[in-house]
Amino acid sequence: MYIFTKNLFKGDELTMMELKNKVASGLVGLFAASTLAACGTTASAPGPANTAANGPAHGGTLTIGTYTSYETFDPATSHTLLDLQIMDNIYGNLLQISSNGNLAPDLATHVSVSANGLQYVIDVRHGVKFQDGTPFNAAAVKYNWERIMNPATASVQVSNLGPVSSIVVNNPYQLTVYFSKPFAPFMDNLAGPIGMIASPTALQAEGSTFGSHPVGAGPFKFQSWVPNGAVTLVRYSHYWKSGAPYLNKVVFDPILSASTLVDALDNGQIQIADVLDPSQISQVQSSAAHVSQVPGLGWFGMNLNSASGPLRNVHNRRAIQYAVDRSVIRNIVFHGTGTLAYSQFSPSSWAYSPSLAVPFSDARAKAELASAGNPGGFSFTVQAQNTNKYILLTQILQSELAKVGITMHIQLLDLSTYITNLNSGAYQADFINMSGSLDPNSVSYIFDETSADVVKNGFNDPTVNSLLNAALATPNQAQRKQDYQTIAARMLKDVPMVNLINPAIIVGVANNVQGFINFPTQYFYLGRVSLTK
Amino acid sequence: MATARLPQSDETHNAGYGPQRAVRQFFHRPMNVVGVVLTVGILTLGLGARWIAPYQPDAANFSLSLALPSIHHWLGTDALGRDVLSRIIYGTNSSLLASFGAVLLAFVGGSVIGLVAGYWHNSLIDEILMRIMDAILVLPPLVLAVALTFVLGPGLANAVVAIAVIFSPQFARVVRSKVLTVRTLPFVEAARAAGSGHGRILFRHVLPSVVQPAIALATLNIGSAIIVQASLAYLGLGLQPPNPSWGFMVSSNINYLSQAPWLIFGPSIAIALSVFGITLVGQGLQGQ
Repeated sequence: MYIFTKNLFKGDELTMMELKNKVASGLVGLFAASTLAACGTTASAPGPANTAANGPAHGGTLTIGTYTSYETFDPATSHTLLDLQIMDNIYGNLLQISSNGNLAPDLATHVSVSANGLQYVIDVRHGVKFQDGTPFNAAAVKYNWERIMNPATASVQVSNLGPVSSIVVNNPYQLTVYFSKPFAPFMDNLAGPIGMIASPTALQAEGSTFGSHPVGAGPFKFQSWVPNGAVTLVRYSHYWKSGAPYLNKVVFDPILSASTLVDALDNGQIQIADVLDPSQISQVQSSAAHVSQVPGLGWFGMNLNSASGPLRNVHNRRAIQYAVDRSVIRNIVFHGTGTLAYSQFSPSSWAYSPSLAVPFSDARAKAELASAGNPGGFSFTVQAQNTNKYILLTQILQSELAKVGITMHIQLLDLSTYITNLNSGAYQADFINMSGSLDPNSVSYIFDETSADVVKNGFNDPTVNSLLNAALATPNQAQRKQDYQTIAARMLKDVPMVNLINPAIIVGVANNVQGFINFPTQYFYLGRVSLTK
Repeated sequence: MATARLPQSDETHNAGYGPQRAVRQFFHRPMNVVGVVLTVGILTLGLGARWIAPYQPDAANFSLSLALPSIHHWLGTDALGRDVLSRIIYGTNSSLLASFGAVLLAFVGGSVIGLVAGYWHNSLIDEILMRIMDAILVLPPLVLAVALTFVLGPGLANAVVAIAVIFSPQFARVVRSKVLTVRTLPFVEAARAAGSGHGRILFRHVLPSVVQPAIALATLNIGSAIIVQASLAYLGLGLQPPNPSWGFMVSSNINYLSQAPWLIFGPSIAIALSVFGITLVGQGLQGQ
């Protein structure tokens, strides 16, 4: 489960790590049992072929400029998305997300789930070797997951693995995972950090230093990591996909400043800018590079605390929802990127419901204020991080709400106070920038399920609670989709938060880069990327 | 003693034809005139913002985001479609209020500390007060101001307090050293012999003789205070949005430097001109 934020509100990233720790402790043990029958789900579509017109050229160094530096390359302990982007290339993944957002086989060739959702049978690819020569097999997968489950590892991935009761290796290339309770997100999660399998030999040999000497079975081998500086990966010549990868070397260079990142892209110092700030899009010179945008899986919204004060009244919350013009926020704060959000599920998610919307209407806002018993409006305080984007955003909201008589005071806070207040419910309103992973559970459960709530906004809808738990328990995606859409519709009416924007993932790509796919998950699989001469 | 007659002679000097001559001399120097013109201009903008500014500073017009300078908006509009010129004019208030207020606070606080420490020279209170002042002096002023504002919480009033704290040691030092010479002079001894209390001696007899250099220092410090205030505002620690302040206008629009440079130039030039003007006046006064 990843809550991050990179594209827009870079300062949030810590918030998200903070939240994630809560998630790990909050989620485990909360999976409701379910008796819903489910059909077996199978991932077997082939991955997309490379997109270069005349066959990919071999060789060359690809440099990726990033907005922050890295923490660790141990998939069990990494917190940040940027680590994952690099790790995806070192480890590959059991499943991969194809460009159309579906799951595709990678190191796992077939996954099936039992009708009761309690057993997953995973077949892994034959003849694959880790970069240190250790054979990749079912036992290696089991070793990695038992390491995550071992409390001594203090892994943040426990919640992604779910309530696993045991893992049995059936034969060298097949394992069965038994769950104590059904855990539907497991399938999607196989394309996430738990699908990144490390070499057991290296894990044992390195111990606690494995995070800076990672060994996987992905397209690129770890070469070096300058502390707080660049990470260099080199081509793994025995990668299981014959011919791939095409690049000799990949360098992830933390450039840290949004404007320097664009300059570096324009002058050819880097070939991929990860990620671009929306305000910098206009600075990308079309002769050198282009901008690749895809709707992300996250959401950005104003979180309203309904536990006390004027926001306890649902009509007041609805008044805010009506009085906010999302398109102004999209145009000014997000520079015209992203999509207007009316739920936590983005257009890139299978749980997205395109028909869900509320109009921007001051008249309706005033009507709601009248129903609330305060036709002249009310006042409340919003907390925000002390960064330019939030300052811009809060001033827009303040000015829009003032038009219907709602006085919004702005309280700008440093990051740590902001997070503390967010996690303890010590706010009337604040903002959440959640960057989602593939499964809709990741962007909804920890905010909407009352007992799992990490933001303490006082939202308590028994129907939403039971639907969330039902959707967690059934592997039937059609049923889950219906559950999540019902949840979204109920939340749009009850307004525990005003979802504003589903931010786009914005990546700057040099024109000589071929085969790069910008995924909604923001993963950076470079196994099919090549450089034209 | 030669120094003993100085205050006396200054008094007669000032009481007679001095002021007119001093004013004439002051305006004789062209740079002083420039300084006075700039300072008066800025004071006028600040005090008359309500009548001079063409728009309300926080009147947003989202359809006019980042408009180019035009006949309606001389300096263009910012991301929220607010008139930049009006925001600069209103921003004068916070800049001037903060810097004058902070220097006044530092002047009063620092002078009292200097008086007390100098008068009870070599006593425990002198040691304690001056070591605290040294501790403040030893830290880089801007870093200290940032730390203080951070602890006190962002806001104009707290920024003023923080600036006052970092400027007060200078006043304390200047006043104390002057008190050290004055406290042994015959007129102080005479007052003491006549039975005056410490308070009367300090404020009636010592203070008038030591305040002159502190006043000169104050005029020079106003310029620095504007810069520190703008820096704090730049870091988001000064006046809170949507209220306009120069430093904050610069920082919040820095992202638009390539698209809309007029957002940065206006407030930057305002900061530069006001510091320049007030510093010229301060230097002119000191040169008297």
